[in-house]
Amino acid sequence: MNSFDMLALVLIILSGIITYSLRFGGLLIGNMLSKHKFIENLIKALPGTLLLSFIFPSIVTEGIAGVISALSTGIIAKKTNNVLIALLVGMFIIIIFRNIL
Amino acid sequence: MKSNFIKGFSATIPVGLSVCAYGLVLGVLAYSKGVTFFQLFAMDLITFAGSAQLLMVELWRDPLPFSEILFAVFAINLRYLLIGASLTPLFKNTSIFEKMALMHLVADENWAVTMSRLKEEKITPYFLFGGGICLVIFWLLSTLGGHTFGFIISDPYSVGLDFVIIIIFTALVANFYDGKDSIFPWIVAAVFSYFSFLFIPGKWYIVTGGLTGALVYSFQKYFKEDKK
Repeated sequence: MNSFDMLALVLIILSGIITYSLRFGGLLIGNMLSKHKFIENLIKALPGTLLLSFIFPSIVTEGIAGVISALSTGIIAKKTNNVLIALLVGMFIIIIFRNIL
Repeated sequence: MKSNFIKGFSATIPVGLSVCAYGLVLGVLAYSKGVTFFQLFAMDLITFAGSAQLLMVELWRDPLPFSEILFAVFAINLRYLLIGASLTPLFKNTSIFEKMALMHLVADENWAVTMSRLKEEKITPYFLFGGGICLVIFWLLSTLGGHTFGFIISDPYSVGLDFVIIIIFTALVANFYDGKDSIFPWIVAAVFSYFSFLFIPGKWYIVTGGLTGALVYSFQKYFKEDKK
């Protein structure tokens, strides 16, 4: 193993340690803080707001097709509780927009 | 315990398939950047975070930009601190060893599937872990496959596979909609994430949007209870 490969492996391991610390640290922090009502509400709201923040910019960037597809997916998922159907409809709309319209 | 593992594994398969699209892209890119098969394999198992790995591969060169890569990994994965915190209710009544062992394979995808299932039924952290094992299998197959056959596939994005994950998350996010209480926090989250997306490089938009939205929800509850 030459020095570049050696350094590369160290770098990969350090990246892993950083990522794991964040994952595990978050759980520990949450455990310590969940006794407070305010923090408890914060933790309760986080999944929804995090997911929304994940998808929203991509949907807007995709344009009108993204908005129509996301709205239909969300509404169908909420009404029917069937993620697969919602997914198929959403993808169908995107593919139609990208290839035909 | 065992059935939770299997339930989690199978519930994550559809998301896992869409993760393959990312994995292929990463594998092809890694191949073109000179990342070896073994290095990619090590990254998959040790870091196990798609966007961070994509970034590492993009920054990969000789000599290795050590601090640049480490800071980027930290920044891009900071959202895991919040994801970890949001998992507190799921890990109630588990030992510290279970917590340590089961947290490594937490990714955006199995976390989202788990949290949305947690709203419907009582599940254990092994559901999350089953999802993680499912993802790591798809992840290894697709990234290493992309690396091996990197010279054939020229542009996996063109098929529109990049949007699958967004659609899946959209279907999942609908589960978290709690009626009136969610409206204002969600608007704030959307606005903050979009502006961070436009003006701050990296994946900060997930953290800023998620945190501000959740804070608004907490304050909203706080002031409502004050009035009673």
